[in-house]
This record gives sequence, structure tokens and C-alpha cells, in this order.
Amino acid sequence: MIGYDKKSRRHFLLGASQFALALPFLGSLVPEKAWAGVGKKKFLAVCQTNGVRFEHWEPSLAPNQNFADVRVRSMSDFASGGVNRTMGTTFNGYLSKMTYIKGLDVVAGRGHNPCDVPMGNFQVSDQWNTIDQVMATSTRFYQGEIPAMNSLVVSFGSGGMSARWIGGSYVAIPPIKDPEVLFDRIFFSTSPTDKTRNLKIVDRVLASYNKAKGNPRLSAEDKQKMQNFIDLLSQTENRIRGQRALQVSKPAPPVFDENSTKQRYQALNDCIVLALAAEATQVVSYKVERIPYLTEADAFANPAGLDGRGVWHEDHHLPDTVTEATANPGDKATMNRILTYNQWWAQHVIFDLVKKLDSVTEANGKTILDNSLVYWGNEISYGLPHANFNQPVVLFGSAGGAMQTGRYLDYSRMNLPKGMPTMAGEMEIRPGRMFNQFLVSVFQTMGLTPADYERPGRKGYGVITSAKPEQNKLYEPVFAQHDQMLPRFRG
Amino acid sequence: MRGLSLTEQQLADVVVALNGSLQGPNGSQPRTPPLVEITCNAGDDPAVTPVARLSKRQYENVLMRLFAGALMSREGYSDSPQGVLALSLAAVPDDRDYTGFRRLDKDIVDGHVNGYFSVAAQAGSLAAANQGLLNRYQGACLSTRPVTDACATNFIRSFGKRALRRPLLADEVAEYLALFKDTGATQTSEGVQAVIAVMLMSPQFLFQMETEGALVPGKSNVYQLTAWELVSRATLALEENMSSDEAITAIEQGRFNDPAYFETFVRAMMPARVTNRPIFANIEMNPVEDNFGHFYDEWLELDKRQINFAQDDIFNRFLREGRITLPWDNPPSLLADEVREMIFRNIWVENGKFTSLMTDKKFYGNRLTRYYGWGSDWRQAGFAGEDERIASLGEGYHQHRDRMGLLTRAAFLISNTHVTNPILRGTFIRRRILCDDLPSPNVDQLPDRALEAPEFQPDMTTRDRFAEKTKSDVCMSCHTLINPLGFALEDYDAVGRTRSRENIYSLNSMNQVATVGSPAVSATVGSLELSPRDGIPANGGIDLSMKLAQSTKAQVCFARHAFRYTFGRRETIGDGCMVKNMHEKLEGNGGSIREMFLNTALHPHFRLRKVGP
Repeated sequence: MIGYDKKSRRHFLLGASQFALALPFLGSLVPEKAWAGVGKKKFLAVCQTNGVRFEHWEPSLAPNQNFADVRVRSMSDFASGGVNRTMGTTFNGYLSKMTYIKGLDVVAGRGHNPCDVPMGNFQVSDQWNTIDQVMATSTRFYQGEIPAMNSLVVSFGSGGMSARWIGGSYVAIPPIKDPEVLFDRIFFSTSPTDKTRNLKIVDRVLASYNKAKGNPRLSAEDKQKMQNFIDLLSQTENRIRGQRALQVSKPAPPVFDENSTKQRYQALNDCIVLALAAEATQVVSYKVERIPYLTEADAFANPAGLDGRGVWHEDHHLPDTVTEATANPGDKATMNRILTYNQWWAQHVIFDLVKKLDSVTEANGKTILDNSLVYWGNEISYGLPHANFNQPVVLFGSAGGAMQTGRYLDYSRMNLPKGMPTMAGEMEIRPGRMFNQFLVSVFQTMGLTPADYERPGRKGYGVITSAKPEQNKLYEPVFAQHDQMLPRFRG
Repeated sequence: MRGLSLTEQQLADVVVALNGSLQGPNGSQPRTPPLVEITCNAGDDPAVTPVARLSKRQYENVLMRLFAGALMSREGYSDSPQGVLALSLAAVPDDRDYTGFRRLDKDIVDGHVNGYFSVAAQAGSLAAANQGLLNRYQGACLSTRPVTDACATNFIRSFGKRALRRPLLADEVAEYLALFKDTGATQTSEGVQAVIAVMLMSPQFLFQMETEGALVPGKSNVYQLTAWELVSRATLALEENMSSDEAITAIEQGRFNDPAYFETFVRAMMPARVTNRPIFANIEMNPVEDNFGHFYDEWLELDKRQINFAQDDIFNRFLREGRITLPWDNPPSLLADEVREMIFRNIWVENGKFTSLMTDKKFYGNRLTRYYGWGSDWRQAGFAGEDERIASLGEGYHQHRDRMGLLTRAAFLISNTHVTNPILRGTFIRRRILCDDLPSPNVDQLPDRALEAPEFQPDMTTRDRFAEKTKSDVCMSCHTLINPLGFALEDYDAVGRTRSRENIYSLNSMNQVATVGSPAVSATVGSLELSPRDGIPANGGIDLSMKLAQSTKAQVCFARHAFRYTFGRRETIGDGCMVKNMHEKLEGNGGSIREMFLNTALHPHFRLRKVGP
């Protein structure tokens, strides 16, 4: 072992706090149901990585209502046969609060990405903030004062899925990965004594930066850095001042087994629900993926029936030309691994989150889930081509009644033959609508207007043109609607 | 046959490598400025030095030294309340490495400010309750109420000059005293906490301000650093820390006014090692050695160079069948540790140059004897000594027979699949050894599936397949610079063994590995393109290593990396004299890596700060 320390502080923490078995802390915090916020709209984006296999995500039933621009089916029809092979019947209790969408294509995607493509940043070269950050900085979304914690970015990766342009640079918002840190952020600055002292500290610190900013031996760029710090510190000050706005009192911190992926994610789920319940923030982005440093000891690395390899990314490179009918034994095993992994995530992380969001009733009589729009997607769609067409989209909640739920919406253009330019033709895939329309639909459902998200001279949201002419040609028939809501999106 | 897909890490590496400094594995980083030409004219001003925040490591180290390890330790954090401080520290975002070195990340977002504040408040609270720590900063009298102004002032001055890295000005002392009396009116600890918290949030603590020096005669925007600033700059650069108590005493005694004393001080920070003990034996590293451990770890991405044997079906099958031998009983970082050992000894024991790193044939750590094909028993393999881990040392080193320098060590060759990846190898050398920026691959502008590995063919080597895959004009616009460097290493297989033929394998329907071909490999290339159309040929990895060692471009590139790491920014036009000097100290007569780093602090420009418009 080399002589200097290459471990992160995180490792020290892991070593220092080997908690025993988890207790679901959220339940113990909520003696009464009507304890949380007033029911403001909330946006929560959950993103998985490495793609999907369409045969595992294709809804088990086809739409049965044909409209001009979309085909529809009631989600209640899926109760007996399951939504699809990945979600199965796990979500049966929430079919009426779910919207399942098929047929949304990113025209100019870039393959692997930190989950910012499904959040609207299709190409790094074009300066689009991820959609959660648009909301996080919108006074219209927050209907007044933007809280200091304008968004929560949660991820185990080095880069979270959220980013915005700051001072001409594209800055990925550093994510929070630890439940304890997340908890600490929510309940930052506690007692009245702390608050009074902390405000005095901030005032004094602000004075020192204002003084530094006036130093003639600083360049304009240096002074801008001081101003940036002042702006951010002012947010901290607002957060301290605004502490009374938290709708819950500080509970005990989360308890979980540090070496359990399941317990760690479920503790994060608890904290996210807590943050939304307290209305400390109304915007969350949450990247869900394997935890790199949990391998052999991790129960998730060896779910029942698998060989324990945990080859998450590699497995998804199984070509689209391999079908279950033609797969050799090795490929069939790979397919089963992919399915089992995704079922695990759906059951133990996504379902757990949805269930908890629906367990807390807010002052308007609706649950947090009802008042939210929860968007569950993936960085890419099909693994091997690293495709961004047919991006998977599952929604939960109605954003406080802003949209009709309980529907399966299929935007595939049925007048086109099956298949995509980079895919084999056997699967039930056709070109659909531009993903930009989905982003616009989300914005408008959350109460934003085009003025809140469009740029001067740029209608809609996100890159709308591919460098490949043949790809643009494919979307010509729906191009004119790229800045409009998806047909029947809200009901 | 199905093309072998890249592992997750490899794919990320490909994107990083191909992107150069344009964007990281997540594709979300900003474009960095183009490489500047290194020129130096007599009388050149230094480049503008922007005010920059401390790196995360500097920040942590400074806190450690400031609080004398009383609040936290390297070995781990205590339970609450120190645990609360640890949590706050963890909330300060880690520096990102997308620009090559973490120290170059100067962004400040709300996570930083919130984290800094939380740390400041927690550290202040803990320090206020630690009488031993207060005593250290002339705060013994704080335990007696009422606290006199003189007592509080002494504490403020003593703690302040260390935290702010310079003596406090009179008006600052007055302001801190007012804060102390206001917040500490009822409880002294509240006042102490507030004073410490404000200092730990102040621009003088979180940033390298350097605004106190005198204007250089004849210049309008170039300032001489004060002794406080000079020592602080050197210590932060070389030790990633604040000045020690001993250095502060010397500053106050005026000893740093003598340039010779400063040189002695800097040289004392970087002593040469006189030891044959390998660092595998867990020798304790001093702060500078620790700092430069991070330098070469980040330069060579050593943390990523690990054995990860679970990524490829055929590779796994080979392992199970014993056709590949890995050091199973050893940690996955073993290959990287061999490189770390070599670099450490080159810098600190042998006073080596860049050329030494590229051509060193010494073998360190014979736990890799089986891996390198030298038999299963270290003594039978010809090693001597009383302990396996240090067996080869003391009586002369064992020499690698088929490899030379960094690039032919297993750490840089292992692909964690059963085939090599010459594209990854080539992009790594192009970017990290030659400092060339490569344009970003935009999937949208490339042919479909352009970034996927080519299909296997029984009669085609990996080189043949990649050459075929990248032969189009649009691909060759970059692969002209990538392929030759990677192809020249094709005389080493995917786990770093030498080879003359490449077996082509396939998994059949029964999941059995079958050999379907065995074409001869070629590691001969006509032009390495170290510089455009240079026509420099290479024949295999050893020849490539020698050509790179002799390349001025590669040597200067190393100096550029050293500059970036030392100063926490990319070199600009005004840094030409510094980088040129670093190159001379690296490869000139009496030069060495150690001398190069030493002389960054001894160069006249190190004592100056130029303010931008």
C-alpha cells in the first residue's frame, strides 16, 4: 500500500459510522399525516443509466384509442398483466397516478451522458440549462421568492444530471451523495441562538467580501469572483433567515447500513421526501445508478439468481439484433441479468420513492405525489447504439391536478414503417415526436410560460436540428410543433 | 462476429481521451483554451495571476494544520460532534478533474459556500470548547470571565495571522474584537466561535489574495509578494498547506528577506531520499512527497489503472482456466503501485528526469513476478532478499527485459478485456504525454456506431480492425494522431504480455472459448506524428518509449503538466519563461524532476503577481 492517503473523506465516514440495520426513519417521523407543506407544485426527475431493452419496457398492451396525433390506453388495463416486464404489477397501486409515454425522440442526442440529455441538454455545444435548473431559478415556478435551496441534486457519480451556464461556463451542479449530508442540508442552521449568531457571522463575512471587491489590486475578473461569492453567500443568508419556512421540525437523522445499496437509496428517498415535505425545495434531480465503491460486499452486486458480476454497462451492449428467439445461452443470460437488475431498481428504489411520496398528505388534501410531477427516465434508450430515440418516460403525479393521469400515451408515428435508421426492424419501434415537445409540456404543466424557458429568437427548448440531414428529414412532419405541448399531454 | 464492447470505464476513458480537455466523461465540462506556444524573452512580465480559491485538498490540509489535528485527523473522524464537522467537510464539493488536475477546478457554486459556512460554524464551535487549542493561540485567558479586550485581542491576532496568512491590520483587529464582544457578551464561547467562523469564511482564508506587496518599480500592475505571501504561495503549491509555525517565526524575524534563505527553505521542503526501502513497505511520506503523489496519480490517471476482471466474458473464461494469471491475492491497484514506486524512486531517490521515467527498466515489487511471466516463486525468479516485497532491492534492481519506462508497464497496457485497445492507448499518449488537444467526437456528426469497437474477423488483428474502422477521412482527421501511438504498443497484449501473434477468440453457443485465428501482429509505424508529418518511425513499445523520451515536445509537455499542477491553472503566454525554465531544470545539465519543481518556486516570476485589467 502506498504511503499517502488516496481515500476520500467519504471512506473515513464509512469507516466511522458503520450503522446497524436500517430503520425506516420517515415513518417514525410522521406521527400524523397532515404535517407537511401547503401543497406547492414540485418537480422530481429520476434518471437511470446505460439504457433499456425495449422488449423489457414495451407496455404489455397496445393503445386502444386512436387519435390523430397520439394513441392512448387507460393504465388501469395493465393491472392484471403488468405495465411491462420491468415494472410488472409492482406499481399496481399507482396506475391511476401514472402516465406512461412512448415515442419521444431526441433528434440531436449525443449518446452516453450524465443524464442531462433527457433533461434538455442534448448537445454541450449549445447552451441549454437542464430543465430542473430552469425551474430552480424561476420566480414563476416558485411563485415569488426563490428559496436558498432552489434545487437538490442527488447522485453518486462525479457529475450530477443537473447543470446550468454560469458566467459563460457550463457548470455541472455538484451532487449530494450521502443521506447524512442531504439531511444536514435540509436542516441547516437550527436553533434561534444559532440563527442569530449565524446571521451576524454572515453579515461580517459579506462585509469582508465587499471590502475585498473594492481592492484596486484585484482585476475585474477577480472582483467578479468576489461578487459571485457575495451572491452565493446572500443565498445562504436567505436560507438562514428563511429557516422558519420549513414545514417540519428536525427529526433524527437517517439510519442505514452503509454497505447496502438498497438501504442507502431508500435513506436518500426518505431525505428527498423530507425535503419536499418540508418545502425546503420544490425541485429535485436524482440520478440512480450502481454505487462504484460498493462491489463485492454489496447485496445488489449479487441479486438472487445472478452470477454476481454486476456488469451493468457491458450487459447493455447486447446488440439489438439479438432477440430472445435467436439468443444463444450466453446472450439469454445477459438479457435476464438486464431484466433482473431493472426490476430490482424499479421495485426497491423507484417504487419505494413513489410510495413514500404518496404517504404524506399536504395541506391541500393531496399527497406530495399528487402535487408533484415525477419524471423517471434514462440517459439513453437502447444500449448498444447508445441511442436517444424512443427515450423512456414514466411520469407519476399530476402536478397538483395540472394533468390527467392514468394514461398510456404512444406518440409513435404509425404511418411509418417499423424500425429506426440505426436499429433492426423487428421491434415495435417507429419514429415519434421530438423530445423537445415533452420538455415544453413539462414546463407548461409546472406553470411556466414560454417567456420563462425560451431564448430570444429560439422557440421551444433545446437543440432541434441534427447534423445528420437524413435524421432531420425524418422529423420534418412534426418539426413545426417542436415548441408546442404534446397532443393530449395534460388530458 | 460481434464486436467487443468497451467497458464502462473504457468508454468514459475514450470520451475523455478523445475530448481532450473539451469535456469529461459526462460530457458536461467547458472548453478549455488552446495550447499556447512557449516563448520567453528577456524582461517579460509574468502572466496575470488570478485570485483563486484553495483547492479542496489545500482547504482540508490548512484546516488540519490550523487546528493542529484537534478537531479531526487523517486516520478518521471521531463520532459526534467531530462527526458533524466531517459531514460539513464532506458537503464541500470535491474538485473535479476534467481539466486534467483537480487543482485547476476553480468554480464556486452554492455547495461550496454552504459547505464552507457549515465547516466554519462547526469548527468554530468545536475550537471554542477546546481549551488546549485556545491556549495554542494565546487564548488561555479566555476561560476567565470577564474577558479583557487585551486577552481577546491577543487571541484574534494570534489565530488571525495563521488563518488569514498575514498579520491582521489594525482596523481588522478592531472589527473582530467588536464581533467578539457582541456575540460573546453572554458566553465567551459564542464570541470565539463567531470570530473563528468569520475568519474561516473570509476571502483571505478561502482565496489566495496576495494584495499586500509593493509595486515593482517601473510597472503599473506587477507587485512584489510580501514574505508572508511568498512563503504562503510556496507552501500551498508544494505542500498544499498553510505555512508552518516555524516558517511564520522566520517570516516575523525577517529572514525571508534574504533570497538565499528562501531557497534553503524550499530545498528543505523537498529533501532527497536516501533509502532503498520501497514505498510498498509503507514508508511515511512527507507532505511534499504526498502532494506530488497526487500529481502523478492525476497526470497518469493511476487510480483508473486497476485490474477489473469482471468486464469481459472471454477474459473471465481465460482467468478461470488459468490462461491468464493475475495477482489474485493482491489489491487491484497493484499494477498502478508498481508505477507509483518507479516514479517515487525516480523523483526522490534517484533524482531522475523525464527521460528516466520514459526509459527506466527497473522492476519494483516482485509480487508481480508471476504476472510478468517470471515464474511463480520470487526466489526462483532470481530475486534476492529476506522479504518478498523488497527482495529485489538493496543489491541492485531486477531489470525488466521486455519493457521500458512508463508506457510498457502493465498498468498502462491492461485493458480488462481480452483484446487491446490501441485507441485508448494512443489517445492517452497524445493527450497526457504530448499535450495535444483532440477535437471532441460528436456522435451526431460521426457515422452511425462510430464509437463502437469493430467486428472481429479471424484473420484480422486488433490493429487491422481498428485501421479499417477508422480509415475514412472524417475519422482520420483525428486518428492520424491517435492510431500510430497505439499501434506501436501492439507488441503487448491486453494484459501487458509481449506477443508476436494475436489469437482471435470467439464464444460459441455453448459459451466455450474457441480460437478462430492467430494472425501475426505488427507494432511498426511509419510516422508517430509527434509533431505534424515528422516521419519519425517506431518499432514497438520500447522504441516508442525511447522516441518519446527524446522528444522535446514530450519533455515540455511534462513541464506544462507540472506547471498546471503547481499553479492550479493552465499556462498562458506570459508563463513562457517559467515553463521554459522548468524544462531546462528538468532535462538540462544537473536537471531532474525534483529540480524542476524546486525551481518553480525559485524563478523570479514566482515572487511577483501581475494583476489583470
